[in-house]
Amino acid sequence: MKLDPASTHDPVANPANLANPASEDPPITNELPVPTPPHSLWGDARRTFFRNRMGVFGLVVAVLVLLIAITAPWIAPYGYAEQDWNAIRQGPSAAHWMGTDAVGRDLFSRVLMGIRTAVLMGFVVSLATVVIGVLAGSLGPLLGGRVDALVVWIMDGLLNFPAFWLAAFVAVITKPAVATLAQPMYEATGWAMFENTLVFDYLVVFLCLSLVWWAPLGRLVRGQVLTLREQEFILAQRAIGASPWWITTRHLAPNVLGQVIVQVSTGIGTLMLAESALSFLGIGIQPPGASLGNLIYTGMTSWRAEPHLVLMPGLTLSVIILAFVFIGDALSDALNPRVRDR
Amino acid sequence: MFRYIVRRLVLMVPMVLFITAFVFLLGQYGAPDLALERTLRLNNNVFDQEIYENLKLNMGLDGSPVERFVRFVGNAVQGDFGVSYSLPGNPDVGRLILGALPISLQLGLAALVIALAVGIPAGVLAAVYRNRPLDYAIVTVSTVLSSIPPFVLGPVALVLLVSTFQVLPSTGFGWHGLFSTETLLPASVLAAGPLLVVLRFTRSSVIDVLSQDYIRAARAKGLSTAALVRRHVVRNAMTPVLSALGVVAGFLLSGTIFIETVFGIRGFGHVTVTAFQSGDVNTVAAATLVSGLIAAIVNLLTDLLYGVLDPRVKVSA
Repeated sequence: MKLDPASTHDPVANPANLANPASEDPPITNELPVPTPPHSLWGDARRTFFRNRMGVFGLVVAVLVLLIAITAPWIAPYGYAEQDWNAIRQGPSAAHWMGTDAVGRDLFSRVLMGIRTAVLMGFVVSLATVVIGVLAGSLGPLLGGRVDALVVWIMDGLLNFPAFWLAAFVAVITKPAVATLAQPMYEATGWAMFENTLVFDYLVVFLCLSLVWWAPLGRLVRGQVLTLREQEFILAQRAIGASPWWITTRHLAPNVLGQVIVQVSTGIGTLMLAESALSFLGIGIQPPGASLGNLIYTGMTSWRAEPHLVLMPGLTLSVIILAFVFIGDALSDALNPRVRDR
Repeated sequence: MFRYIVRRLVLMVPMVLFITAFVFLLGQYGAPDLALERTLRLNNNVFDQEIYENLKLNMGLDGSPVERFVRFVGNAVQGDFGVSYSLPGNPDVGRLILGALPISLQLGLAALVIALAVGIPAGVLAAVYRNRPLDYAIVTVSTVLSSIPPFVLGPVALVLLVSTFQVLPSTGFGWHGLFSTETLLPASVLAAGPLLVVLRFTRSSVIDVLSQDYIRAARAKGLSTAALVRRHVVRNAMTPVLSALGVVAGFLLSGTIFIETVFGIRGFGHVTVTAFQSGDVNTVAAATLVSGLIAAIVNLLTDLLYGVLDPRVKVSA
């Protein structure tokens, strides 16, 4: 006798359930169930991730890049702006592993410092986008009304516009503004950093990327919060009297976290690329500051005679970007069970 | 349908205006005083209040930033974007962009054709040979190719194909028309990014279709895989691929700027980069407006095409 499952559990439709509610339990025996090792979300994710060879390759490269970024000023054989007029436009050699540029700067040291710049921007801007994105994505649904409408409108606007274009426009536009703002700051504090144009470059890149890049994260968090809020387990929590804080930290955050991690980790690579791209166009970090993008751009002026000036920073950047793409793919496989079979 | 298009177009306006206003107003803050520079240049480095005021009026630099923005938009609606004050000869910005845009559009079109012509067949192949060596090879190669940024792929291609192996002519700089050999390299490099998007969408869509019941039925009646894919799979799998076109257009729009810089093509991207590097606020604002409009129109077209090709998608006004 196979009835509609809803009606078998309904004591009104099926009075037998009223008399014996546990009628479907298995018979009690003396045997203990065989214990299975516990499977946590993170344990499963770690196993899936490390089974992915590309992901592991990406992770190794990323760790290496991070180490280089931290230690670059100490492991670089020469200063990144140090000029040697006796060694101009040299090819790769034992003294200069990647050769030298038109004013005798050691390319290897400059590439190392360029990696440092890219990593710095990648991580700092990621942090800023997480803060803005999570705040915008969760406060919108929480506060509702006009605030929500405004947040959604701004997010849609940013998402409809190719992010890099907008970042470039904002970078061009904010550059003089940052310089103008820094002048009174310098007079007030006397700190040398408010006079250093290289610091302005970093500030401009940081500002324009943070202002533009949070929108996808905001949309993700907002969507997750909106769907999760309507689910039964949140309703159940509310029914047993859980506080909003408990619900947010114990139930909403862990469910959103996985996808935020995936998006941020892929985002770091994209942000490093964006920094290089801005510098390539001459609106990010300018020489003598070292950025992989401006190294490629300066190298382009003599690609026929000295192809290594383009190829070395170019290939370095490509390997880093690829590593982060692989990490992102492996992470989304590991943390997103729905696409695991794709 | 008509009401839907009108509604979308109307909704588009405040968005583009908002972004342009953002760029324009930020640009006014701390921008170099062009009228002052010019006064000094005209008057042997002596400041003259009368010349300065007159120049301000002539160059449209009088009034508050908000007033200037309103005037800028008012003129822009009538097709007048003002003149560029940092380029020699002070060319008209509208004419500058209008002259450059067709080149970029042709380049983008060529890249789109390459991306579709390579991406769709490769995606179908990868899906049919899913989780087998051919699939892995296709996905890996295209991931690697499209992850390399265009401003690296371009120079690398130049060094390898032109310098080292001399497959392509070396005097291939600038724009030589849509069907010239010189277009092949920039268009292919531009196509590399969108290629992966097209390939991934095609692959997952074909995998979806292949698991449908009617495919099993077709197989059961004895169709060969090739005939099955040709007759039943490809057409049904294409609709989701269309939703990739919006992403692809975004790729192409930001890609042209690098390709044109690397290959010395004087298109829209080139105009924008020149404006970037000289801090030319008028041209930057105009370029923002134009690219915002392009992005919005492409989004609208994608949605419309989606509705036309898949009758299940209902556009609601």
